[in-house]
Amino acid sequence: MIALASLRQRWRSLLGTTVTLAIAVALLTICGLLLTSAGPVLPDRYAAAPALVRPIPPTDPEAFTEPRPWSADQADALALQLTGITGVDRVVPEHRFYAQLIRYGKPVGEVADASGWSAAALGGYSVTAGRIPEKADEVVVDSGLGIAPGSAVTLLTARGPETFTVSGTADGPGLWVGDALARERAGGVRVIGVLGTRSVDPAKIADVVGSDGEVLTGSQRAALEPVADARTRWIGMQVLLAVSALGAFVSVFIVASAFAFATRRRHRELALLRLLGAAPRQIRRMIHGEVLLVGLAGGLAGAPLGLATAALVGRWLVRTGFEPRTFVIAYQLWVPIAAIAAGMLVSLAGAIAAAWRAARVSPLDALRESALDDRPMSRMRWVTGLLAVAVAGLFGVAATSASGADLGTYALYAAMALTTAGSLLAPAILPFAVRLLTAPFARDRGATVLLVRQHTRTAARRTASTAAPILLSVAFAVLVGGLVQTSTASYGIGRVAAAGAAAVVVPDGVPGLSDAAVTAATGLSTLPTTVYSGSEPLAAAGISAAEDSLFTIGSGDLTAIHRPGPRIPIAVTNWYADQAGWQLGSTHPVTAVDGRAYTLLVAAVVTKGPTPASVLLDRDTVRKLDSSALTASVYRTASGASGLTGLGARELSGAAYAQSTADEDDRLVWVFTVILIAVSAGFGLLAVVNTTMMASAARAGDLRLLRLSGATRTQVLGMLSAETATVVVVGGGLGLGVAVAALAALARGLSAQLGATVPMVVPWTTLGVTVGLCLALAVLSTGAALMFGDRARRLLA
Amino acid sequence: MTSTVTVRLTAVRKTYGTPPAAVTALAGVSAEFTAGSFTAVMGASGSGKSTLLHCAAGLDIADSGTVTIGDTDLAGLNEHGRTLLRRDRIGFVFQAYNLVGALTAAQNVALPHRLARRALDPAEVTRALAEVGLADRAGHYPAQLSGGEQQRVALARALITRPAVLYADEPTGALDSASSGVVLRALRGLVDTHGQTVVMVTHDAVAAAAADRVLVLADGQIVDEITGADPARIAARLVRAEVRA
Repeated sequence: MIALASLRQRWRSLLGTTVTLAIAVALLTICGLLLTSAGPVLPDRYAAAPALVRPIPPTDPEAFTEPRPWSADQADALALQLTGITGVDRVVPEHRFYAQLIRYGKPVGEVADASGWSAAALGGYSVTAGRIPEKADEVVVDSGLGIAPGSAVTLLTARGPETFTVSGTADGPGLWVGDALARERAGGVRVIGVLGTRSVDPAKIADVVGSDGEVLTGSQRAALEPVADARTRWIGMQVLLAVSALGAFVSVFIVASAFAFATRRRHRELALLRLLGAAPRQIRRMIHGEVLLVGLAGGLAGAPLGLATAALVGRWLVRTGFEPRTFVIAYQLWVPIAAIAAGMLVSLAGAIAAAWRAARVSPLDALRESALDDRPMSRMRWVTGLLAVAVAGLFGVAATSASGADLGTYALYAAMALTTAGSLLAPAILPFAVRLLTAPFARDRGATVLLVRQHTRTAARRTASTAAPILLSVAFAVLVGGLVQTSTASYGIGRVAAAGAAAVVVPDGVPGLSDAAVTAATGLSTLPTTVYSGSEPLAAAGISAAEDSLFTIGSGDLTAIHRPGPRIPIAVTNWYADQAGWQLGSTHPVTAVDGRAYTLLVAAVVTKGPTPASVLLDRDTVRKLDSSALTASVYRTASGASGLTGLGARELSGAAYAQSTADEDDRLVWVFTVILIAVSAGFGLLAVVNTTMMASAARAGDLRLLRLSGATRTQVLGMLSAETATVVVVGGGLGLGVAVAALAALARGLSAQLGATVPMVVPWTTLGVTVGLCLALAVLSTGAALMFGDRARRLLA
Repeated sequence: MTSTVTVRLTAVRKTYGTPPAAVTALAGVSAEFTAGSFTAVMGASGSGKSTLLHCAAGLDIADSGTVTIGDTDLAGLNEHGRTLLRRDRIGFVFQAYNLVGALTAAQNVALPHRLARRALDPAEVTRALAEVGLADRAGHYPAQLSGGEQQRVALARALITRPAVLYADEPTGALDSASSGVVLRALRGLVDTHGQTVVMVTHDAVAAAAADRVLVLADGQIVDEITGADPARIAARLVRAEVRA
């Protein structure tokens, strides 16, 4: 009851906090809906098959690699057995290989593979004009493309451009060639479709398949979505989780500073309640009740907002590529309810410190004339502040020795801990920093500098609450911006420096470069593929003799891999050799992408090289094992590659390539960055407005006194602006410090990982824009609070 | 009137700070406040009258000596015990900010009951407000009441909890003389009609004259005791006490 009554009176001062929580809950609702909606979708090409059989997938779902295929012969044998089951009409092994339709020198449509005509039945497609492909150079295309049967078309395959004749058109998207050609080109089989009456018992199929694969029926079939889609969904999920976590952290932070502030302002009232016999526990409960109500109000406003905008955000995610095209939002009631509950928990977490502080107010303070408590640093504050510094240090150390995705995560955690530490210790740091900053003006005879310096010293707590959200905004904007630029720089350096390239030929509208494009580009390249040790994928790459010099040899003879024998000679990276226990001369059975079994012989161990692959083979060997393998890029010693037209390739300068966002992954990471900066800085700026207005309102008395002492309105405004600007600069400086510390840890970690010095990149533009925005907003809201105060005074007079 | 002692202070000493900068606020004060009595405590600034009130209310702990309220020795209570004692046995009225700004007059009056989670008949609140002449102001917020009205709401709050003792710290200190008169009459009414024990700290001789007895403090000791006097005599005795001290 007291909580409710108190809120009714103070709602204006808590408006900012409520709005923050509303936005946080909206964000959580959107992220929750998107996360629960993001599920795999069955590709249309399998829609007509009631049961599908696929090989056992790799154990790590985040590897995003296709499962180990069956060889064409194995698949045929399995298909023959499956045909014997009652109710089964036809069993179709799908032979699929890389192929893209090229028209007017550009790739057309979204289809990037071809299969044998028999597989068209799995999608329920049939020929609408012409006939099915029979000869080796015949193809059936989508009737929607408007290509008449009999026309000649160019298909880009892993070999290069090839000329086909359209034998007919079908009523669905896809490219279909003769089954014999598909069987020859595709190598391995990854899907066997079972067509028949609906009454086929999946258990019987499973009996036949045994441990060779798994049977998917009904909605399970969605597991056959393209690996690229699964990967896109996974990236989208990381983005949404990161945004949710950041939103929650920032909300806790804002609620904490708002309630800490409010508690100080209500000191006398709390003392009165204590005097009248309220136990500390009752005071705590009251504050908790208040904050839960604020959280509920924010949630009730935010959840509908989230529900209303989720579809919009979902569409945008599809457009930017964070979700596959098949993505649709499923609305579930529990998501907004959970978001509201989370919002209330977040606000409760934020008010814990304030509630403890409120409960410790002495009842005697109700009897004292002036009960202003602006003790800058309590012991608790020192302890928790220094503890947060220690935690940040631990994460920083962890970051310097972490690898991969963990590196960025640790850097982010370190920044979160440092931000907390910074805002806790701000009252101790601020007066000193402000004195330092204003030292050049100390001899100024005017009142402004004197007042600014004195104010930050005597009201350190209040000043600190204004500086904290600025610290937060700047720290996260700079950190996230720098995080991406620093790691992008490192990868770019890794790629180009290793090859010493002046120019790089990259794919243009195609997933990778064909052999013809690689030949035309004349440079250094690798041909990536996968070999399977058991059912686990192992990244491998084919190199020719020209590329041998790019690798540092630990032991053995790298040139031996170009002299194939009955056992395939390979080189292995030292870290994989250590991990898997492979050594020079040891042999290992593997399965290649063609589904056949081979034996690898370790001929060399390499310690350093420009490819992430663990195993190196001869380039021609890879082409034999994997007829669809494509090259990612070709490094040239000089720019000016010619003859790339119609090959789905273009040339970039080395510098342009190093910083390019042409790479799809880089582009996604960039969008990710923008989202995170927008979320953290957006929340931060909201908090800047909130705390500045609260602080200014609290100073109405001071300012009235100043006016009475003869200060003009302009002088008061000028003084306030100078003070606000000082606080913004100091807060921004602290934020920059936090970000730089985290970035330094990241750069060290990357350097250790790559074995080359990675420069730390500080995004100065982002820094400038964020500090500028903070400054503008803080000064504006100070002015606004003052105007509001003026009006209130006139009304009271 | 039979005189049961409600509040008893025995040789209470209280020193603030550490030597050599120590300040002795109470230098062995003994006093008794009988049930239904109205006592004013006077003295110059720094005479120790506020400390006396704080110690007598259990807001501050005496260095030595004992304070009892009814049969309860305050030294035997922990912080929680003293909080409950304040809630159940002690009423407070002080110079200003007596009320919680977010609550109406009626809600402020009912606050101690609410904190104790005791049921309260709304009619009782109305009756208490009527007794201090504010029956029509029940729904008003403190900001809508004058200073004198706020003080009377605080008195109504004390009335409804029936505390063993009501401590008033300069209750008229922030009021004009007309409002002061109303508040003092209301305070007097509590004593006369309900037998309320009142201890009032004041430096205003006019306010002190409303009491049955005046204790004069100087340098942490009781230097004078005046009964049944008018403001002029009190003022004169006060000056004498100051000079003697």
